[in-house]
Amino acid sequence: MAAKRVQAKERSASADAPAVTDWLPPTLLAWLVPGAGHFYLKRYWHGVILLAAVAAMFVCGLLMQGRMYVPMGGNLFTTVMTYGGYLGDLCNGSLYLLAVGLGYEQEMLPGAIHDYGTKFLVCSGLLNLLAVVDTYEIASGKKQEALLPQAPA
Amino acid sequence: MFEPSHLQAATLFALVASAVMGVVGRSSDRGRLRYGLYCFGYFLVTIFVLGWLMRLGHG
Repeated sequence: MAAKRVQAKERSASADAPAVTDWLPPTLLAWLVPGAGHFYLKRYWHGVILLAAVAAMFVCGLLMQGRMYVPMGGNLFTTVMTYGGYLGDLCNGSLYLLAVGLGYEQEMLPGAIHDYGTKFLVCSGLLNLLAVVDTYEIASGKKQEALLPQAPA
Repeated sequence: MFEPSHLQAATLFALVASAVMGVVGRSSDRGRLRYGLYCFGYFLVTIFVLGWLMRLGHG
């Protein structure tokens, strides 16, 4: 009896679960190009704001000569810092791939501005991660939009 | 090279982060605007308070 109830619950959960084809393309697109997931989901102004914000922070990080993190082992602090920073950088998607692909490389320089630049590069990736999660939630129907334009009846 | 002061860099970060948090944080356009301004205001207050604390702490 209990097993039947569990099976019925699992069936109902899988019926409610969004199809992978619904959320995977916009989510991947959102990671690859900041704001593109929202464009794909026809939230154009949101996409523009996200693209402008993430790209502005990334470009400011580059102009401040921030460093891209390279994963390194060693002690725990170094491992957590470099792997965490690398993942943050990677969240920038094509901005990171383009910068590294075009040969952007920065040695460690003294001064607070360069350190800010490094943090700006990571933070732009983390902001893009927020946009990716939002795209996933919209595409999978977990986030209800309140003021979507309604089709005329 | 872009060389902002500490205050300019922190304010720029606050502006960009608030814009993204506003867009993803609420589900209505009015809510987004309010939440973005709310976040930006709190960022500025935090920058001001922490700035003065550091200034007074260092003498």
